[in-house]
Amino acid sequence: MKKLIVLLFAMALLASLVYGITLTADATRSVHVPAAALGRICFVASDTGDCTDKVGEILFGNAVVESMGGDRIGMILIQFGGNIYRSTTTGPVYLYRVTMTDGSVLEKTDLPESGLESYEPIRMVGLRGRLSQVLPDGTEVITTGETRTLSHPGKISVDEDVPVGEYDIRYSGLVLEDTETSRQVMTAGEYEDIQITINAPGGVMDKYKLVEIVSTTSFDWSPSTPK
Amino acid sequence: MNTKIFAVIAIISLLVLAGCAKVEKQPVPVVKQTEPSKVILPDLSKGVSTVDASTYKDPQGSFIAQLMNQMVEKTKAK
Repeated sequence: MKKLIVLLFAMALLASLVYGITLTADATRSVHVPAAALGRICFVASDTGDCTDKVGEILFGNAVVESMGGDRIGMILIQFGGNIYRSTTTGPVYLYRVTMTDGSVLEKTDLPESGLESYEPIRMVGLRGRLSQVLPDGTEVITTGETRTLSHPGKISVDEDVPVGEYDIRYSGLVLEDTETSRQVMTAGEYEDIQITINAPGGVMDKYKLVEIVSTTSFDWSPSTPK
Repeated sequence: MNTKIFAVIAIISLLVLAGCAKVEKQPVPVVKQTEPSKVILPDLSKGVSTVDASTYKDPQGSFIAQLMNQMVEKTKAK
């Protein structure tokens, strides 16, 4: 029992070290932005899935934040429609080779809910996760204040808070420093696509998708450096 | 000792069985209101621009605003 307690304590300590990076200017040594893109985004019609005539500017980028303690963690920042969003969770998106029970072989990023015989990952093609909204006073809104139930046949249904936003970014040549942890430090990749869902109270799920990328860049920044 | 291990396994088994009993097909997320939210929906007529980071009083929010301003300036300068 003592060994178990020690093991759990060690795991908790390790987790706090991995995820305990403070995102403030004082606690940050440097920021590397391997890719940032300026482009145009459109509001998607819920019935057709096509772009409506509502089109606007978007800026999004991957940032690698290095703390004073030397820890590095990846973060995605997005600005569009007058709002700023940052990633609160990030997970890799894989392209899978899927073999169905009828013998057909497909390449998909989302596994089918039925008729699946086996699957194997081919390569990592993107990142997706949740977004928080950074309000003009600096506070963040993490969830809409609602909950939703996610369930798939054969799996236990799970209640979860509805995030303010969700993103799905696709890259070519995406490389992460370490896929074993949730640090998601991007070391290479070029943007191909981004899709964003903005959730709001009342079950609102507004979808936006990329129209075009106008320009991309990369840079380093130290918070202590005068602008 | 064996009794304790058996008890732990039995409890875990019961929890797993209880979890399996909850399985239900529900492809569309169910949403229910629990508290109000301050979500501001995007207005696509507003373009990408720098913000006044000094108004971001929260240290983390201020840092994010400063980093966002750097991204705006670097990408717009290209």
